[in-house]
Amino acid sequence: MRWITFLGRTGTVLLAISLALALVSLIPPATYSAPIHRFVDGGMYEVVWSGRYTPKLGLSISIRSNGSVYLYFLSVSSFQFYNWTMTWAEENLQDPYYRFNITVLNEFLKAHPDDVLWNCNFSSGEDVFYEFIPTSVVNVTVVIANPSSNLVEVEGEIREIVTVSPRKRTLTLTQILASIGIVLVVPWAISMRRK
Amino acid sequence: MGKGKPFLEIFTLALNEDYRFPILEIFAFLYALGTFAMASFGTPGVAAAEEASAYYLVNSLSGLPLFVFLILIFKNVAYGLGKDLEQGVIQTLFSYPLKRWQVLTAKLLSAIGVALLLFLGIQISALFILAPGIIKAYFTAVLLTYAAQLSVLFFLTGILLLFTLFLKRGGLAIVAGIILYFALSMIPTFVMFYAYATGSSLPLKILAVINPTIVLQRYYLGEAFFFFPEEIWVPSFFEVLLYLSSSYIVVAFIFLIAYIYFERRLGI
Repeated sequence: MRWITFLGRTGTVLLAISLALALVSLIPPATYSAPIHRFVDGGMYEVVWSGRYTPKLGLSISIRSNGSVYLYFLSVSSFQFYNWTMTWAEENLQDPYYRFNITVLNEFLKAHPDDVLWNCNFSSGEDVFYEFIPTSVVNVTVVIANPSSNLVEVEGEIREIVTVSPRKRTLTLTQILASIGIVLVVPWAISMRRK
Repeated sequence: MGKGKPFLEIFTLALNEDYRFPILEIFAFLYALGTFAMASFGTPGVAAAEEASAYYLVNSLSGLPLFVFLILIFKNVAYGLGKDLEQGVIQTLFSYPLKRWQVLTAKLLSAIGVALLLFLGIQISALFILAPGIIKAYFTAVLLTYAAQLSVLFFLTGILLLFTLFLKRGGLAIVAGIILYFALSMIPTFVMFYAYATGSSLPLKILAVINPTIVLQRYYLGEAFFFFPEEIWVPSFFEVLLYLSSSYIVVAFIFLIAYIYFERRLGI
Protein backbone atom coordinates (compact mmCIF):
# COMPACT_ATOMS: atom_id res chain seq x y z
CA MET A 1 0.00 0.00 0.00
CA ARG A 2 2.82 2.39 0.88
CA TRP A 3 4.54 1.68 -2.41
CA ILE A 4 1.33 2.37 -4.28
CA THR A 5 0.95 5.67 -2.42
CA PHE A 6 4.60 6.59 -3.03
CA LEU A 7 4.41 5.79 -6.75
CA GLY A 8 1.01 7.46 -7.02
CA ARG A 9 2.30 10.68 -5.49
CA THR A 10 5.35 10.54 -7.75
CA GLY A 11 2.90 10.25 -10.62
CA THR A 12 0.86 13.25 -9.51
CA VAL A 13 4.06 15.30 -9.19
CA LEU A 14 5.08 14.29 -12.71
CA LEU A 15 1.61 15.24 -13.95
CA ALA A 16 1.87 18.62 -12.23
CA ILE A 17 5.25 19.25 -13.88
CA SER A 18 3.96 18.14 -17.28
CA LEU A 19 0.98 20.47 -16.85
CA ALA A 20 3.36 23.39 -16.23
CA LEU A 21 5.45 22.40 -19.26
CA ALA A 22 2.34 22.04 -21.42
CA LEU A 23 1.28 25.53 -20.35
CA VAL A 24 4.71 26.88 -21.22
CA SER A 25 4.81 25.18 -24.62
CA LEU A 26 1.30 26.37 -25.47
CA ILE A 27 2.38 30.00 -25.30
CA PRO A 28 2.85 30.90 -28.97
CA PRO A 29 6.23 32.29 -30.03
CA ALA A 30 6.54 35.96 -30.79
CA THR A 31 8.12 36.69 -34.16
CA TYR A 32 9.79 39.56 -35.89
CA SER A 33 10.29 39.29 -39.62
CA ALA A 34 12.32 41.25 -42.14
CA PRO A 35 12.26 40.92 -45.91
CA ILE A 36 15.36 39.98 -47.89
CA HIS A 37 15.77 41.22 -51.42
CA ARG A 38 19.29 41.20 -52.84
CA PHE A 39 21.10 41.10 -56.15
CA VAL A 40 24.31 39.11 -55.75
CA ASP A 41 26.93 39.61 -58.43
CA GLY A 42 28.58 36.58 -60.00
CA GLY A 43 31.51 35.26 -57.94
CA MET A 44 30.54 37.40 -54.93
CA TYR A 45 28.87 36.85 -51.57
CA GLU A 46 26.75 38.98 -49.26
CA VAL A 47 26.05 39.05 -45.55
CA VAL A 48 22.27 39.17 -45.23
CA TRP A 49 21.78 38.89 -41.48
CA SER A 50 23.68 38.68 -38.23
CA GLY A 51 22.77 38.57 -34.57
CA ARG A 52 23.19 36.88 -31.25
CA TYR A 53 20.88 33.91 -30.67
CA THR A 54 19.94 31.86 -27.63
CA PRO A 55 17.80 28.79 -26.93
CA LYS A 56 14.90 31.22 -26.39
CA LEU A 57 15.64 33.36 -29.44
CA GLY A 58 15.87 31.49 -32.73
CA LEU A 59 16.07 32.37 -36.38
CA SER A 60 14.28 31.07 -39.46
CA ILE A 61 14.81 31.86 -43.10
CA SER A 62 12.67 31.21 -46.17
CA ILE A 63 14.37 32.10 -49.40
CA ARG A 64 14.30 31.59 -53.19
CA SER A 65 16.42 32.82 -56.09
CA ASN A 66 16.55 32.90 -59.87
CA GLY A 67 19.92 31.10 -59.98
CA SER A 68 22.05 28.63 -58.10
CA VAL A 69 23.31 30.05 -54.79
CA TYR A 70 24.80 28.83 -51.50
CA LEU A 71 23.33 29.77 -48.16
CA TYR A 72 25.51 29.61 -45.03
CA PHE A 73 24.72 29.97 -41.34
CA LEU A 74 28.05 30.79 -39.67
CA SER A 75 28.66 30.85 -35.92
CA VAL A 76 30.63 34.11 -35.89
CA SER A 77 29.64 37.67 -35.24
CA SER A 78 29.49 40.01 -38.22
CA PHE A 79 32.31 41.98 -36.57
CA GLN A 80 34.62 38.94 -36.40
CA PHE A 81 33.67 37.93 -39.93
CA TYR A 82 34.31 41.46 -41.23
CA ASN A 83 37.69 41.64 -39.51
CA TRP A 84 38.84 38.26 -40.82
CA THR A 85 37.74 38.83 -44.43
CA MET A 86 39.12 42.38 -44.45
CA THR A 87 42.52 41.25 -43.17
CA TRP A 88 42.66 38.31 -45.56
CA ALA A 89 41.70 40.46 -48.56
CA GLU A 90 44.32 43.07 -47.63
CA GLU A 91 47.06 40.50 -47.18
CA ASN A 92 46.30 38.22 -50.14
CA LEU A 93 44.45 40.33 -52.68
CA GLN A 94 46.23 43.59 -51.75
CA ASP A 95 42.89 45.40 -51.77
CA PRO A 96 40.11 45.27 -49.11
CA TYR A 97 37.63 46.12 -51.89
CA TYR A 98 37.78 42.47 -52.96
CA ARG A 99 36.67 41.19 -49.57
CA PHE A 100 33.23 40.30 -50.95
CA ASN A 101 34.81 38.00 -53.50
CA ILE A 102 33.67 34.39 -53.08
CA THR A 103 37.35 33.33 -52.85
CA VAL A 104 37.57 35.17 -49.54
CA LEU A 105 34.49 33.38 -48.24
CA ASN A 106 35.89 30.02 -49.34
CA GLU A 107 39.15 30.79 -47.55
CA PHE A 108 37.21 31.68 -44.41
CA LEU A 109 35.28 28.40 -44.63
CA LYS A 110 38.53 26.49 -45.11
CA ALA A 111 40.09 28.18 -42.09
CA HIS A 112 36.98 27.83 -39.89
CA PRO A 113 35.18 24.61 -40.85
CA ASP A 114 33.65 24.35 -37.35
CA ASP A 115 31.96 27.71 -37.73
CA VAL A 116 29.56 26.42 -40.37
CA LEU A 117 26.31 25.75 -38.51
CA TRP A 118 24.36 24.87 -41.64
CA ASN A 119 24.67 25.32 -45.38
CA CYS A 120 22.74 24.45 -48.52
CA ASN A 121 22.90 24.90 -52.23
CA PHE A 122 19.66 25.73 -53.97
CA SER A 123 18.83 26.39 -57.58
CA SER A 124 16.48 28.64 -59.49
CA GLY A 125 12.84 28.60 -58.34
CA GLU A 126 13.57 26.28 -55.39
CA ASP A 127 12.10 27.37 -52.04
CA VAL A 128 14.35 26.83 -49.05
CA PHE A 129 13.25 27.00 -45.42
CA TYR A 130 15.49 26.55 -42.39
CA GLU A 131 14.84 27.12 -38.70
CA PHE A 132 17.70 27.47 -36.26
CA ILE A 133 17.17 27.29 -32.48
CA PRO A 134 20.60 27.07 -30.80
CA THR A 135 21.34 25.01 -27.71
CA SER A 136 23.63 27.71 -26.29
CA VAL A 137 24.34 31.38 -26.85
CA VAL A 138 25.82 31.86 -30.35
CA ASN A 139 26.54 34.66 -32.77
CA VAL A 140 25.09 33.93 -36.18
CA THR A 141 25.98 35.46 -39.52
CA VAL A 142 23.92 34.48 -42.57
CA VAL A 143 25.74 34.61 -45.88
CA ILE A 144 24.55 34.11 -49.45
CA ALA A 145 27.19 33.24 -52.04
CA ASN A 146 26.83 33.23 -55.80
CA PRO A 147 29.41 30.87 -57.35
CA SER A 148 28.18 31.46 -60.93
CA SER A 149 29.27 34.28 -63.19
CA ASN A 150 25.73 35.69 -63.57
CA LEU A 151 23.89 38.18 -61.41
CA VAL A 152 21.37 36.40 -59.18
CA GLU A 153 18.28 37.86 -57.53
CA VAL A 154 17.53 36.47 -54.08
CA GLU A 155 14.38 37.19 -52.12
CA GLY A 156 12.65 35.85 -49.08
CA GLU A 157 12.12 36.52 -45.43
CA ILE A 158 14.12 36.18 -42.27
CA ARG A 159 12.28 35.72 -39.01
CA GLU A 160 13.42 35.96 -35.40
CA ILE A 161 11.48 33.65 -33.08
CA VAL A 162 11.16 34.41 -29.37
CA THR A 163 9.87 31.47 -27.32
CA VAL A 164 9.37 30.84 -23.61
CA SER A 165 11.07 27.49 -24.13
CA PRO A 166 12.10 25.39 -27.13
CA ARG A 167 8.71 24.02 -28.16
CA LYS A 168 9.72 20.65 -29.63
CA ARG A 169 11.92 19.61 -26.72
CA THR A 170 9.42 20.84 -24.12
CA LEU A 171 6.51 19.05 -25.78
CA THR A 172 8.45 15.78 -25.98
CA LEU A 173 9.29 15.99 -22.28
CA THR A 174 5.66 16.90 -21.46
CA GLN A 175 4.41 13.81 -23.26
CA ILE A 176 6.95 11.51 -21.57
CA LEU A 177 6.25 12.90 -18.08
CA ALA A 178 2.47 12.84 -18.55
CA SER A 179 2.56 9.22 -19.78
CA ILE A 180 4.72 8.04 -16.86
CA GLY A 181 2.59 10.11 -14.46
CA ILE A 182 -0.67 8.55 -15.63
CA VAL A 183 0.75 5.03 -15.41
CA LEU A 184 1.89 5.68 -11.83
CA VAL A 185 -1.29 7.46 -10.72
CA VAL A 186 -3.83 4.87 -11.91
CA PRO A 187 -3.18 2.16 -9.23
CA TRP A 188 -3.11 4.81 -6.49
CA ALA A 189 -6.33 6.41 -7.71
CA ILE A 190 -8.04 2.99 -7.82
CA SER A 191 -6.91 2.12 -4.28
CA MET A 192 -8.06 5.54 -3.03
CA ARG A 193 -11.45 5.00 -4.62
CA ARG A 194 -11.76 1.57 -3.00
CA LYS A 195 -10.99 3.14 0.37
CA MET B 1 14.04 -4.63 14.92
CA GLY B 2 16.93 -2.67 13.33
CA LYS B 3 17.19 1.08 13.49
CA GLY B 4 16.38 1.47 9.82
CA LYS B 5 12.72 0.64 10.17
CA PRO B 6 11.80 3.16 12.91
CA PHE B 7 13.81 5.78 11.07
CA LEU B 8 11.86 5.07 7.89
CA GLU B 9 8.65 5.11 9.94
CA ILE B 10 9.34 8.63 11.23
CA PHE B 11 10.51 9.74 7.80
CA THR B 12 7.25 8.47 6.27
CA LEU B 13 5.19 10.19 8.97
CA ALA B 14 7.05 13.43 8.30
CA LEU B 15 6.55 13.05 4.55
CA ASN B 16 2.83 12.56 5.07
CA GLU B 17 2.69 15.62 7.27
CA ASP B 18 4.86 17.90 5.13
CA TYR B 19 3.50 17.01 1.72
CA ARG B 20 -0.20 16.33 2.05
CA PHE B 21 -1.95 16.06 -1.30
CA PRO B 22 -1.82 18.41 -3.26
CA ILE B 23 0.93 20.51 -1.58
CA LEU B 24 3.82 18.78 -3.30
CA GLU B 25 2.03 18.89 -6.66
CA ILE B 26 1.34 22.64 -6.37
CA PHE B 27 4.96 23.34 -5.49
CA ALA B 28 6.21 21.10 -8.33
CA PHE B 29 3.95 23.01 -10.73
CA LEU B 30 5.26 26.36 -9.47
CA TYR B 31 8.88 25.19 -9.64
CA ALA B 32 8.48 24.07 -13.26
CA LEU B 33 6.51 27.12 -14.37
CA GLY B 34 8.86 29.56 -12.63
CA THR B 35 11.93 27.82 -14.02
CA PHE B 36 10.85 28.05 -17.66
CA ALA B 37 9.12 31.40 -17.50
CA MET B 38 12.02 33.22 -15.83
CA ALA B 39 14.93 31.76 -17.80
CA SER B 40 16.94 34.48 -19.50
CA PHE B 41 20.09 34.45 -21.59
CA GLY B 42 20.90 38.13 -21.41
CA THR B 43 24.57 38.68 -20.76
CA PRO B 44 26.53 41.81 -20.31
CA GLY B 45 28.99 42.60 -23.06
CA VAL B 46 32.14 41.64 -21.23
CA ALA B 47 35.11 39.51 -22.16
CA ALA B 48 34.07 36.49 -20.10
CA ALA B 49 30.55 36.62 -21.55
CA GLU B 50 30.38 32.92 -22.45
CA GLU B 51 30.99 31.69 -18.91
CA ALA B 52 28.99 34.59 -17.51
CA SER B 53 26.05 33.49 -19.64
CA ALA B 54 25.97 30.18 -17.74
CA TYR B 55 25.98 32.07 -14.43
CA TYR B 56 23.34 34.47 -15.72
CA LEU B 57 21.13 31.65 -16.99
CA VAL B 58 21.25 29.69 -13.72
CA ASN B 59 20.54 32.85 -11.78
CA SER B 60 17.50 33.74 -13.86
CA LEU B 61 16.31 30.14 -13.95
CA SER B 62 16.44 29.68 -10.20
CA GLY B 63 15.21 33.11 -9.07
CA LEU B 64 11.51 32.43 -8.56
CA PRO B 65 11.82 28.68 -7.83
CA LEU B 66 14.30 29.45 -5.05
CA PHE B 67 11.71 31.69 -3.42
CA VAL B 68 9.10 28.94 -3.79
CA PHE B 69 11.63 26.47 -2.35
CA LEU B 70 12.17 28.79 0.61
CA ILE B 71 8.44 29.04 1.30
CA LEU B 72 8.16 25.25 1.21
CA ILE B 73 11.07 24.83 3.63
CA PHE B 74 9.74 27.54 5.95
CA LYS B 75 6.39 25.75 6.00
CA ASN B 76 7.97 22.37 6.66
CA VAL B 77 10.53 23.42 9.27
CA ALA B 78 8.76 26.20 11.16
CA TYR B 79 5.18 25.10 10.77
CA GLY B 80 5.74 21.32 10.62
CA LEU B 81 8.41 20.85 13.27
CA GLY B 82 7.10 23.81 15.30
CA LYS B 83 3.65 22.27 15.45
CA ASP B 84 5.13 18.94 16.57
CA LEU B 85 6.98 20.73 19.38
CA GLU B 86 4.00 22.87 20.33
CA GLN B 87 1.45 20.05 20.40
CA GLY B 88 3.77 17.49 21.98
CA VAL B 89 3.77 15.16 18.95
CA ILE B 90 7.55 15.12 19.25
CA GLN B 91 7.22 13.11 22.50
CA THR B 92 5.51 10.34 20.55
CA LEU B 93 8.39 10.39 18.07
CA PHE B 94 10.88 10.16 20.97
CA SER B 95 9.22 6.91 22.03
CA TYR B 96 10.65 5.24 18.90
CA PRO B 97 13.88 3.27 19.48
CA LEU B 98 15.98 6.02 17.97
CA LYS B 99 18.35 8.67 19.25
CA ARG B 100 17.03 12.21 19.20
CA TRP B 101 19.42 13.31 16.47
CA GLN B 102 18.09 10.51 14.29
CA VAL B 103 14.54 11.76 14.82
CA LEU B 104 15.61 15.26 13.79
CA THR B 105 17.47 13.89 10.77
CA ALA B 106 14.35 12.04 9.60
CA LYS B 107 12.28 15.21 10.00
CA LEU B 108 14.84 17.37 8.17
CA LEU B 109 15.30 14.82 5.39
CA SER B 110 11.60 15.08 4.71
CA ALA B 111 11.39 18.86 5.17
CA ILE B 112 14.50 19.86 3.20
CA GLY B 113 15.70 16.76 1.33
CA VAL B 114 12.55 16.08 -0.69
CA ALA B 115 12.04 19.77 -1.52
CA LEU B 116 15.69 20.04 -2.58
CA LEU B 117 15.47 16.91 -4.71
CA LEU B 118 12.42 18.26 -6.51
CA PHE B 119 14.01 21.70 -6.95
CA LEU B 120 17.28 20.36 -8.35
CA GLY B 121 15.56 17.73 -10.50
CA ILE B 122 13.41 20.33 -12.24
CA GLN B 123 16.24 22.85 -12.53
CA ILE B 124 18.75 20.44 -14.06
CA SER B 125 16.15 19.03 -16.46
CA ALA B 126 15.22 22.58 -17.49
CA LEU B 127 18.87 23.42 -18.10
CA PHE B 128 19.22 20.36 -20.34
CA ILE B 129 16.09 21.32 -22.26
CA LEU B 130 16.82 25.02 -22.58
CA ALA B 131 20.56 25.07 -23.07
CA PRO B 132 22.34 21.71 -23.20
CA GLY B 133 25.29 23.45 -24.86
CA ILE B 134 25.81 25.80 -21.93
CA ILE B 135 25.48 23.22 -19.18
CA LYS B 136 28.01 20.92 -20.89
CA ALA B 137 30.52 23.66 -21.62
CA TYR B 138 30.32 25.48 -18.29
CA PHE B 139 29.38 22.80 -15.82
CA THR B 140 31.64 24.28 -13.12
CA ALA B 141 29.94 27.67 -13.36
CA VAL B 142 26.51 26.01 -13.14
CA LEU B 143 27.55 23.92 -10.15
CA LEU B 144 29.13 26.84 -8.28
CA THR B 145 26.12 29.08 -8.89
CA TYR B 146 23.71 26.52 -7.45
CA ALA B 147 26.05 25.82 -4.54
CA ALA B 148 26.25 29.53 -3.70
CA GLN B 149 22.51 30.12 -3.95
CA LEU B 150 21.66 27.06 -1.89
CA SER B 151 24.19 27.98 0.78
CA VAL B 152 22.24 31.19 1.55
CA LEU B 153 19.06 29.19 1.69
CA PHE B 154 20.54 26.58 4.01
CA PHE B 155 21.84 29.38 6.22
CA LEU B 156 18.32 30.80 6.51
CA THR B 157 16.90 27.32 7.12
CA GLY B 158 19.46 26.67 9.87
CA ILE B 159 18.60 29.93 11.62
CA LEU B 160 14.89 29.19 11.24
CA LEU B 161 15.44 25.72 12.70
CA LEU B 162 17.20 27.28 15.69
CA PHE B 163 14.35 29.76 16.16
CA THR B 164 11.81 26.94 15.98
CA LEU B 165 13.69 24.87 18.55
CA PHE B 166 14.24 27.81 20.93
CA LEU B 167 10.74 29.24 20.65
CA LYS B 168 8.97 25.86 20.27
CA ARG B 169 6.30 27.75 18.36
CA GLY B 170 5.93 27.51 14.60
CA GLY B 171 4.07 30.78 14.03
CA LEU B 172 6.66 32.92 15.83
CA ALA B 173 9.52 31.12 14.09
CA ILE B 174 7.96 31.77 10.68
CA VAL B 175 7.67 35.50 11.44
CA ALA B 176 11.29 35.58 12.59
CA GLY B 177 12.35 33.68 9.44
CA ILE B 178 10.52 36.09 7.13
CA ILE B 179 12.10 39.10 8.86
CA LEU B 180 15.52 37.48 8.53
CA TYR B 181 14.91 36.71 4.85
CA PHE B 182 14.06 40.33 4.04
CA ALA B 183 16.96 41.58 6.13
CA LEU B 184 19.35 39.28 4.28
CA SER B 185 17.94 40.44 0.96
CA MET B 186 18.52 44.10 1.79
CA ILE B 187 21.83 43.94 3.66
CA PRO B 188 24.02 43.30 0.55
CA THR B 189 22.90 46.60 -1.03
CA PHE B 190 23.72 48.59 2.12
CA VAL B 191 27.01 46.79 2.59
CA MET B 192 27.97 47.42 -1.04
CA PHE B 193 27.29 51.14 -0.74
CA TYR B 194 29.22 51.27 2.51
CA ALA B 195 32.15 49.40 0.94
CA TYR B 196 32.30 51.78 -2.02
CA ALA B 197 31.92 54.82 0.22
CA THR B 198 34.80 53.79 2.44
CA GLY B 199 36.85 52.22 -0.35
CA SER B 200 37.27 49.07 1.71
CA SER B 201 36.30 45.60 0.51
CA LEU B 202 36.25 44.18 4.05
CA PRO B 203 32.47 44.54 4.64
CA LEU B 204 31.80 42.78 1.34
CA LYS B 205 34.19 39.98 2.24
CA ILE B 206 32.59 39.51 5.66
CA LEU B 207 29.13 39.31 4.10
CA ALA B 208 30.39 36.89 1.44
CA VAL B 209 31.14 34.37 4.19
CA ILE B 210 27.41 33.86 4.71
CA ASN B 211 26.29 34.97 1.26
CA PRO B 212 28.76 33.63 -1.36
CA THR B 213 26.55 34.80 -4.24
CA ILE B 214 28.29 38.17 -3.76
CA VAL B 215 31.71 36.77 -4.59
CA LEU B 216 30.34 34.69 -7.47
CA GLN B 217 28.52 37.67 -8.96
CA ARG B 218 31.69 39.76 -8.89
CA TYR B 219 33.73 36.90 -10.32
CA TYR B 220 31.47 36.07 -13.26
CA LEU B 221 29.89 39.37 -14.18
CA GLY B 222 33.13 41.29 -13.74
CA GLU B 223 33.28 44.83 -15.08
CA ALA B 224 29.64 44.93 -16.12
CA PHE B 225 28.59 44.60 -12.51
CA PHE B 226 31.09 47.01 -10.97
CA PHE B 227 30.07 50.53 -10.09
CA PHE B 228 33.35 52.23 -10.82
CA PRO B 229 36.27 51.53 -13.14
CA GLU B 230 38.56 51.27 -10.12
CA GLU B 231 37.19 48.21 -8.46
CA ILE B 232 37.62 47.55 -4.76
CA TRP B 233 37.38 43.76 -4.99
CA VAL B 234 37.93 41.53 -8.01
CA PRO B 235 37.88 37.99 -6.59
CA SER B 236 39.95 35.16 -8.03
CA PHE B 237 38.63 31.63 -8.61
CA PHE B 238 40.44 30.49 -5.47
CA GLU B 239 38.60 33.14 -3.46
CA VAL B 240 35.29 31.95 -4.93
CA LEU B 241 36.02 28.43 -3.66
CA LEU B 242 37.25 29.76 -0.33
CA TYR B 243 34.15 31.85 0.38
CA LEU B 244 31.85 29.10 -0.83
CA SER B 245 33.51 26.56 1.48
CA SER B 246 33.42 28.95 4.43
CA SER B 247 29.71 29.59 3.86
CA TYR B 248 29.04 25.86 4.07
CA ILE B 249 31.17 25.61 7.22
CA VAL B 250 28.97 28.33 8.76
CA VAL B 251 25.85 26.41 7.67
CA ALA B 252 27.23 23.17 9.10
CA PHE B 253 28.02 24.96 12.38
CA ILE B 254 24.46 26.33 12.68
CA PHE B 255 22.97 22.89 12.04
CA LEU B 256 25.40 21.39 14.56
CA ILE B 257 24.17 23.84 17.22
CA ALA B 258 20.59 22.93 16.33
CA TYR B 259 21.38 19.21 16.67
CA ILE B 260 23.16 19.69 20.01
CA TYR B 261 20.27 21.78 21.32
CA PHE B 262 17.72 19.23 20.11
CA GLU B 263 19.71 16.38 21.66
CA ARG B 264 20.53 17.92 25.06
CA ARG B 265 18.63 21.10 25.83
CA LEU B 266 15.24 20.81 24.26
CA GLY B 267 13.61 20.36 27.66
CA ILE B 268 11.16 17.73 26.49
